[in-house]
Amino acid sequence: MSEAVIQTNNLTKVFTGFLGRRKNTAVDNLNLAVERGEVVGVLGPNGSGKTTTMKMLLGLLYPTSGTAMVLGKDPTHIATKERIGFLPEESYLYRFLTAVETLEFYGKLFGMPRALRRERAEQLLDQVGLKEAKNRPVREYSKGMARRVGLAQALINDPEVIFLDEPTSGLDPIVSRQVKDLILELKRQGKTVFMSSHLLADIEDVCDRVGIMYQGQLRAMGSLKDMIRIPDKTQFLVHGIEQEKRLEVAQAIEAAGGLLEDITEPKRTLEDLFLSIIGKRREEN
Amino acid sequence: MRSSLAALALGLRRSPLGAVGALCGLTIRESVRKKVFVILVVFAAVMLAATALLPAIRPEDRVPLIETWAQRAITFFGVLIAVFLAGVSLPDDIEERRIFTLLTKPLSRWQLLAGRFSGFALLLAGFALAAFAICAVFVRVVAHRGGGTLASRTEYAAREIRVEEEDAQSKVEARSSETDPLIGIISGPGETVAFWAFRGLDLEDLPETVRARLSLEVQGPNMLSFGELEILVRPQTREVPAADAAALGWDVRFVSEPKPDAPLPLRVASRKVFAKHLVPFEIEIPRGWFGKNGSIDVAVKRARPGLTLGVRPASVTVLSAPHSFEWNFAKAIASTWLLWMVVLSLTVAGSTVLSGPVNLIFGLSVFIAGSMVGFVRESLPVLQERIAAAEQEHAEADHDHDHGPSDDFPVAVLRFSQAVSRVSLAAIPDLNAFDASPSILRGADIPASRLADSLAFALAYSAGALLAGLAFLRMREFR
Repeated sequence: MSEAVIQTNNLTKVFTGFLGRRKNTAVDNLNLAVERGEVVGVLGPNGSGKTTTMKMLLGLLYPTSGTAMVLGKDPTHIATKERIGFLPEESYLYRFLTAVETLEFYGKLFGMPRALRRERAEQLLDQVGLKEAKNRPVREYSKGMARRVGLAQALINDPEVIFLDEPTSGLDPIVSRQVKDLILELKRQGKTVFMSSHLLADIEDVCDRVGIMYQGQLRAMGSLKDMIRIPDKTQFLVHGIEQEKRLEVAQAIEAAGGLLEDITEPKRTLEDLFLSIIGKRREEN
Repeated sequence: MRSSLAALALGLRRSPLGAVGALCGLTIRESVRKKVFVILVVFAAVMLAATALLPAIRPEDRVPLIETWAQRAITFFGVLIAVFLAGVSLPDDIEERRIFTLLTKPLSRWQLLAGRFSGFALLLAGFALAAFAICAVFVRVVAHRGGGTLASRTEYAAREIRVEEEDAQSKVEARSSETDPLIGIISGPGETVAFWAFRGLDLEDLPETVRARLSLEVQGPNMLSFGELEILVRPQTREVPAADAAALGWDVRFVSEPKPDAPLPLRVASRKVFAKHLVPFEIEIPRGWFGKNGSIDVAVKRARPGLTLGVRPASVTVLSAPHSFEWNFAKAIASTWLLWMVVLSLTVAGSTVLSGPVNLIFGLSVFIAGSMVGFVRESLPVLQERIAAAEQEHAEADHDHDHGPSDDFPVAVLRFSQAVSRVSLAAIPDLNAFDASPSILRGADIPASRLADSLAFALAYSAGALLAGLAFLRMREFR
């Protein structure tokens, strides 16, 4: 039986206004289980309860009722925090520190020895492509660079579970792709990733399972492949068929009892087009 | 040895103190890189440099004036650093949402608070050390150029004070207040003498010629604030060389015939001085006049009738041999650092619930209110008297059925004011208790006991404030 590293039972969060008036249920009886090694994404429009759920899983917000457990313990437990990493929606960094100092500081919070901190910081900055700018104060960084430092700090302790809140928010397609590649790399390393996003493509690219939240409730949850598959429909992706032969194929399909809805040429995503153009340009340079 | 040190370092890093240390280091680094810190340090340096321009009435007053000015400037700028940096540190973390990243690391909320507090405490300690070093060197240079002597002396207080009525014509009334437990007011035409009995003084700590400092309330006729006094000293030894006494301006005489069986001859040395109201002056007493157990009696009487004399236990003190100026100034700076700790703890505690700008106002209000607690304490007995008078007036008016307008506020208002004053006294720290400038100004040693009292108060108050702050922080959620 596989192990649930993130689990919520009837998790509910109600925000109350001044003097207890104006109640707003942000998360409503959420039951969720994320198993070790999974990449799980939560989709939902703004205000659907994604970030509130994540903050309860991180101990930043206290549940009104129900429970949230991470790695079998309460999220506020220090032992839990030693094994998790978190990338907030925006990289909130100390602007007076350089990237190296930032990672060193967070490494110190984990009680990492100096040599290990240095080594890990160098390795992560190399991984997120900030090796050249590592000694510049973070205040001089672009949003994308700051985001990459944020990602590096989330990984400083080589965490077992990584929480990513809108990980590609505000990033250009290249960095966005790098971040998604990094998430896939984390998956290959056996890490558990719990991410929230309102960018459907992000979730689709990296997640094993997807939850859809709306008005504080989990409306759907399941394997990405199963959820986006349209049952009763079949798609052939054919290479090298001539125009005049298409009719014969269509007739064959209808003869087999199928209903052909459309014949189109497949399109690549705009992201793929952008990356291929920029990638080619970079190779030329 | 080296491996055990490494093991200790590793243990500390892995202990809860490791995270506190990390945050402490971040706080110091953050502060020194902020413009506001640099600006405050530059202003503080300008203020300290301005002491060079201080006018002094007498050259020998220059040193204590510079010391006092420097100490007050250091106090003020330290408070500004405590308020302007510490007051916004945690609110900035919250408002700029760095708190999300911090609290998802293995960092408890108490460690966050302790790390921030200890960082600012160390920063202020560094500021105090730097200021101390600069001032100590500067004052030494001024003293070397003839601006006064660099020394501090322990002020020994009398073990006993009594007012002896020599005749029935003098009027002695005792008065007490919160700040002065006993004030004896001597008036009338008689020859009443006030005695200060010093016992158990450390003779090794007294110079060859011992100085006693007097500061008396003197009210002459026609509201003149000066008058002539006779100072009397009773030598506690058999031998009193007349030449020594005369050299110091004393006139020694037998009070009564010496008796062979008496332990000491009844001799009294006297001299007349012209004293101004509460202006300290010093007299010199040969150390040889002190008893073996370090005892001496000093008395004061009015040289002319019509003079009113106010005496307190601290009106006469005996001064020790000069001690190190630097050590005393260091104690004054240490006392100032303790004051900062009180303000800092309240500001850090306030930062757990208040926004940055509101917390700045809170921190500065604490400093201002804390500096005025003494006035509130002194006003309480007066307020009590006003309430009693107003109640009596009210009772009499009831009796006479005369409810005309009163000169004072209604009793309810006075009682409310009294309640507010009492709550303020209980809640607001008395920051005057940390002010060592009066001692510095008169070149007196800051007693170690006073520093210990300040330390105990600062520890208790800071711990209480930080625990309250922690309680708020633990309840707080971060959306």
